[in-house]
Amino acid sequence: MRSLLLKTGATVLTLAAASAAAIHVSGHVKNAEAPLHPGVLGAPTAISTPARGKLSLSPAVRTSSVETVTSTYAS
Amino acid sequence: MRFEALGGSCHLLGVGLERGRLNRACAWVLEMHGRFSRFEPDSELSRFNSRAGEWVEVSSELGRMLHAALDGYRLSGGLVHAGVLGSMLAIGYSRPLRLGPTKTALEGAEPLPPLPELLQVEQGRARLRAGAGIDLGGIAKGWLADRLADELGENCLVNLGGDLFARGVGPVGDGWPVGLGGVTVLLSDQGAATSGTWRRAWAVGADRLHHLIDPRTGRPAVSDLAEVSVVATRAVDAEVHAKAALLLGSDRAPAYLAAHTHGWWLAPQAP
Repeated sequence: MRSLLLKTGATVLTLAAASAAAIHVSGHVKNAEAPLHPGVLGAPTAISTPARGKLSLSPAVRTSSVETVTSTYAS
Repeated sequence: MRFEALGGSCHLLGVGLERGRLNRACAWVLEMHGRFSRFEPDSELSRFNSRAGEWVEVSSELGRMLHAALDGYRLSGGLVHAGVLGSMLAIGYSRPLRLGPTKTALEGAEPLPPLPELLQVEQGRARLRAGAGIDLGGIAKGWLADRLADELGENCLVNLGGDLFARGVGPVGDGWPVGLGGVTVLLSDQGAATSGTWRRAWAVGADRLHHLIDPRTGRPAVSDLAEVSVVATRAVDAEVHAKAALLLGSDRAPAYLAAHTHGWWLAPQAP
C-alpha cells in the first residue's frame, strides 16, 4: 500500500513538473530573429548604398529616408 | 541661411532662432574668413606667416586654431599637417582656384618636418620656424563650425564649406538629417566632414595635381580613395579623420576610422 502511494506521488509530481515546464516554455517562445550574442557597442555595420563606395555606421548614427537639410561635401 | 565663405558654400540652420541671430552668425563667419584666409595678404594668418622665425602676438581665435592644428597632427599620427603652405605654393595653389593655379615648382618638394618642430604656441603668442608657413584649411572650417554651433543655440546646424556640426535633436526631434555618402544620416551633437582629391584638382602636363598634401612627401597625396566622409564627436575631429583616412588608403582607413569615429563613407578612385 505504502509502495503504491509513493509511486503515485512520484508520478503526480513528475506530471505536474512537466506540465508547469510546458506552460512556462509556451509562454516564452524564442524569437527566431533574436541575435545569438549581444551586439558590440560601437561596432560598425557595412551598408551597401546605391552609389559607388561603402558606408559604415556605428550605432551612434542612424540612417533615414527623410529629405536632407544639408550635406557634407569635399571642398 | 546660405552664403559663400571659407572657400565654399555655408549653411546655417536653427530651430527657434531669429533671423537676426543667423545674420550675426553669418557676419561672424565672414569676419573669420577675412582674418584667417591665407589668400588675404592682410589677414592675421598671412601676417603671422610673414613673420616666421619670431614670436608673434596672436588673437585668442588664432591661438586656439593653431592649438587645434597641433591636436589634429597628434590625433592623426602626423598625417594632418597644417604646415603645408610651402607645398601648396609649390603646386601652384597660391590663390583661389577660380582664378586658376599658378606656376608649379615641385622639384624641391620633400617630406615635412613634424609640425611641433615648426610651430610653437603659447598663451597669446606663437612662433613659426623661419621658412615655414601655415595653411589652416579644413582645420579652420571645422573649428569654426564647432564654435559657432556652441554659440548659436541648443538646436542648430552649422555647415561651413562641408565641415558641419549638428547640435541638438533637429527639426522633428530625431536628429538633423544630413547627406553623407549618398544616404541621409541623422546627426545629433555630432560633426561631419568630407575630404577628397577630386575637387580643387587640376592638370599640369601629364601630372594631376590637387590640394591634399601628404606630409610624408610634401606632394599631392596618392591614394586609392577619392573621397572620405566621416561622422565624429566634433566637426574638427571629423575633418582630421577624413583627411587622415584618405591618406591611409582603403586598406588601413577602416581600422583607423573604427577607432576614432562614429561612421564613415569611403569612395574609391574612379577606375
